[in-house]
Amino acid sequence: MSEDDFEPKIVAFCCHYCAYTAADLAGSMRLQYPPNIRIIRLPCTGKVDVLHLLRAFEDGADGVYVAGCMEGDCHFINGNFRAKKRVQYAKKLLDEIGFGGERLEMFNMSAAMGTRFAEVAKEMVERIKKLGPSPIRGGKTKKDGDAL
Amino acid sequence: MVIVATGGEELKPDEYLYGKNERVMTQLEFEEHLVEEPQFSAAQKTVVMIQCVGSRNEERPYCSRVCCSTAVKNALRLKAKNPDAQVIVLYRDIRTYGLMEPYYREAREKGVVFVRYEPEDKPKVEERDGKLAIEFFEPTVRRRVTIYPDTLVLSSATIPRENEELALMLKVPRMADGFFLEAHIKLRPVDFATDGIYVCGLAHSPKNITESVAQAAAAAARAGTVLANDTISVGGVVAVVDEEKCAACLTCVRACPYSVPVINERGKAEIDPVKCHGCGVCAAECPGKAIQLQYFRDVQVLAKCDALYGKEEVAA
Repeated sequence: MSEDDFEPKIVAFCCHYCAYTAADLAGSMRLQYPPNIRIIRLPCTGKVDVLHLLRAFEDGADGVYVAGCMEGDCHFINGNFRAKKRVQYAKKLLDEIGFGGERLEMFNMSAAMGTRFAEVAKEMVERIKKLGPSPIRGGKTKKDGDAL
Repeated sequence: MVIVATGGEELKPDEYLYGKNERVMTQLEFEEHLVEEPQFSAAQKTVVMIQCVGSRNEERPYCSRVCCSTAVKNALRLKAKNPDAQVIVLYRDIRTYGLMEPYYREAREKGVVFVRYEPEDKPKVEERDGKLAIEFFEPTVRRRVTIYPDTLVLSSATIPRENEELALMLKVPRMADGFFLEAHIKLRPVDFATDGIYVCGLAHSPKNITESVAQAAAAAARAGTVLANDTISVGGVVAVVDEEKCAACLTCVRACPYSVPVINERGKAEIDPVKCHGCGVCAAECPGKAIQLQYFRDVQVLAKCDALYGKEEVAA
């Protein structure tokens, strides 16, 4: 599969109070972003579990990201910081097994940032296109010292 | 129950010699002169108004909505008191929307001159020999024209009042320009995503009085739907503990941002469904997976993952 016709599958775990609303706003603003993103709504990114992130990869997602509120603006005080920690932890796990931690990312945005939501979607699709299909879907595993 | 109605105000411009020449004023100041000073109108031979001052630019991309109608209203008011006064309105696009369109026509009939300018070629305002000189391109005669008016009125932008502290306190979102953002533009126009907080008026976006009144009535009605009930049912999104699995490790007690979980007399964690805000932090942190957040149980989230990129596809 060449880089051109590879369409990444990406799962976005979105907080109900920011990124999920931002996605809605992106729609209202008629912004264009790649159709590779599939959204799973959570009440707060603090609900996201390493288990969920890994299962998404296991199911064949080439990339996964968590989109929560701006730091300090979490609707539930500090859920997004907990999510950040878990994403960092999961990235480490993915690196250890040669999967590539950069397939997973945490983003912050507010409900007003429809444009940012579309940007993040584009950014993530471009990144995953460069990385190629996930090792689970027959892509290359990453060895130490491999360039991104 | 909170209704956010902090309002807005008129931007004090920092261009077109505002604050440097006393004959340069905003629409509100001009209106005050018209109403309060009986001699003011008679002394005006020529008045120039500049529209879109501080709105629809890089910094504030939005339209302030009220300035076109205010300019037309004040032009007509001046014309009524002093029919000989010449009024020239330099505009980008006239938006006297809704039922205010007839006033625009009336203003044209009474001889108010409307001249369009391009944002790349804004009118130039300077002092020449103690007079106020305004130079602009007149597209119908295709020439640069200079006018020496008695008063220059700036239709400046509507801006929100200082509300950052309030936004942080209530944890409600604002747009980049400082106006509060509703939960959904079309489906929940006066609600915030947070229950029990509503928004109306200029706090939300620039709008005229009729629109503010309509929105205020909507916000009050939305608040009324809650206040009218003797009891309200809380959402079902709450955390539930499986006592069989709970080891009373206190992780949830420490993790909960609202200090809801307690260890009960049976030595197990207990979460009061009325106090629970439903964020799911405890469910994610619980090392024994003894807590599940209703509607977002692990099996449900995992089922969503499976459904999106199902396992059959992986094999293919």
